[in-house]
Amino acid sequence: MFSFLIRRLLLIIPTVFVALSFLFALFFVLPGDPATLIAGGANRTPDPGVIERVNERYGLNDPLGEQFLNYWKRTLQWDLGESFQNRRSVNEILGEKAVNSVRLGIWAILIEILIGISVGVLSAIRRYSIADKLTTVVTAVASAVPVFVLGFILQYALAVYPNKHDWPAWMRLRTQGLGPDTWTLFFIPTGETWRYLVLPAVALASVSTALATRMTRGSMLEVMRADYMRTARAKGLNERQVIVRHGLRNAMLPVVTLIGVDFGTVIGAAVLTETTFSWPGLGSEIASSVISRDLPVTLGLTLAVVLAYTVINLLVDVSYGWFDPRIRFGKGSKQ
Amino acid sequence: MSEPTVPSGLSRRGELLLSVEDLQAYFDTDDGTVKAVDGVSFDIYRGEVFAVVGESGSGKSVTATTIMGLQPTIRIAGGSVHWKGRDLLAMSEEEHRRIRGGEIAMIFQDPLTALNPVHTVGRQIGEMARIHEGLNHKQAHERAIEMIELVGIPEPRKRADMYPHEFSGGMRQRAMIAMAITCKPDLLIADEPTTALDVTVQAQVLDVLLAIKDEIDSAIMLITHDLGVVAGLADRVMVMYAGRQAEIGTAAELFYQTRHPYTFGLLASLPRLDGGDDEELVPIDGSPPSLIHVPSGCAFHPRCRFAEVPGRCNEERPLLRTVTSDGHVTACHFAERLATVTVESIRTGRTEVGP
Repeated sequence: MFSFLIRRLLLIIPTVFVALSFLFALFFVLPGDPATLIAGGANRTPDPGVIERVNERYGLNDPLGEQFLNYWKRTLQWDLGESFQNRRSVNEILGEKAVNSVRLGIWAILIEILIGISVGVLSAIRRYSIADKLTTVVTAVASAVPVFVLGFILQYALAVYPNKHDWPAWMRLRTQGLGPDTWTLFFIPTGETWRYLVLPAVALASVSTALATRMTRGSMLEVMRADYMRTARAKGLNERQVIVRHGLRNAMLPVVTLIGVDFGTVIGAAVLTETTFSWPGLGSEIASSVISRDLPVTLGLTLAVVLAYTVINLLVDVSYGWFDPRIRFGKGSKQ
Repeated sequence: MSEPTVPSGLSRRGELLLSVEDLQAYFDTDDGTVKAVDGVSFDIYRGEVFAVVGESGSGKSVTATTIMGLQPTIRIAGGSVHWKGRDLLAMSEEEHRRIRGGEIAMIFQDPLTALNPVHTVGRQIGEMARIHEGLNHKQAHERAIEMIELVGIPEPRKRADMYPHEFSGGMRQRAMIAMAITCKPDLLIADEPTTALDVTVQAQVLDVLLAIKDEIDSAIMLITHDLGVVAGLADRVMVMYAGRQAEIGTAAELFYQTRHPYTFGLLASLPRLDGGDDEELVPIDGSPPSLIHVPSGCAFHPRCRFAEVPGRCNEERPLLRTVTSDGHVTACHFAERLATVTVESIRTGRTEVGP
């Protein structure tokens, strides 16, 4: 177990190195002179002296190799630099945006776990029932509809329309931003904040929940045919005990992986959802920094996302050992 | 309970536990009705080992799982199954559930897939006692350790906390046996208990099974395709073919006074250590019939070397009738003619039969 952890942690180093070196290189391959962009944007012609001072300040005159080395030296000391655009420290931006992303991500994953697993299991138990067929159709649609389309539909049906037609207060949701931004226990919204959270969380969770539902259903159906389920019935367990005690944990094995991967994705790559709902998170910030060629922000936030992603995946792999004792690490298991 | 219609066995030492009469268990499929069990009758008494022999698809496992109530899609087209005088097929799922595991326990073929990979062996064994005897976690764990010890697994306390994949094949099957006997069932149904095991551990596992049977004074219904296993263990044997009974009798009767061509076929295809180097195994020609389109008359007639076709064999379904002794019954029109046939004569190809 211990050596497994060490190996997995060491694997993070090349992952991060390759990912960020690629981004760094990409920046200089893209058309446009960085200094000009920093000094005022592509549409204006700044004073040559200004450009010179900018180049000086950010070391853009140095040979590319040297810039690359310097970048890594700073990064290793967690000096992520400052934004080209507004000179805010990247650390500060990261802290601010990451909190929003993680809050939204936690809710999306909670929805995925609660709805995806329970609907998937019920769908498998009541196979070919109307509810099961409906689930198949709904999940197919949900996994095919793009987030921005679903987002607009949700915004209209659950926020714009109810507000216009004076529906009861509890039915009126909000479409944009964080609202009062008040939380307890880090991720539980208080006051009116929940009205702002519901729609982006649902939109963000839709595709992954649909996939988790389908995977749970398929996995459960397979498990229900397993010999050990027959053994459990032969013991005299009733059907509910058979499913809960013997089926669920086995059926969860592939779903755990899916949810783990999704957790990394909803935190770092929720670009469309965050944009649609003006939710100021990492995804939308990375996207806008790429558009405005704000290299330190792009690199800094990406670094954080890559790290979070690899660590979450590591945790998922470790939790796998609890779900499936056959792959418990370092115990010299024989098959 | 009325006297069983089928004469049953010589060794009526124990109480009548299970009585199956003319059981017909069908599966309805898109291609037609699969007559998996087609009119099977037998009794099992306490203390005996009752073997059920036949090829794959002969209906032996379906017979067992129907008794256990583990065939949700099956249609019972006729017949009855009585357990200690109570009608198993008519009882509610809840009543049947209490008998399952508690009074009738089952051991499955492949202990690796039949044990749940994510729970410890001790927990899976103890669960039996928790359901049927209402023991708590701790008591159940102690009972599991006791059972693991009983089936001869060393270091039971340590083993109870291990997972099935950490056990060897023979040990897994012992764990299955331990699980099945936890509540001291009256009948143990063992479905091919040694088929998935190495030859060297087969005998050990069978020994454990027999010793346990005496220890808890139960009966064993041993389902197998291996006549070698039957020879050493069984008191009585039922040979099945295409969902029907071919022959029932004591093990000695079936081996030495064989009265059904299919039984002969099984015996002749058995390898023998004392045979010469040039001895060839004699397979039964053809393959088992489809259970949707069972041959007319005697289901075995297309493969039978003694069949009179056209004649009674393909026109009239043979009924079970008593031969050599009270408990020896066979379903062959020409059983009497087989009196002169021996396994050796089949192996050497001299199979002239009497008039």
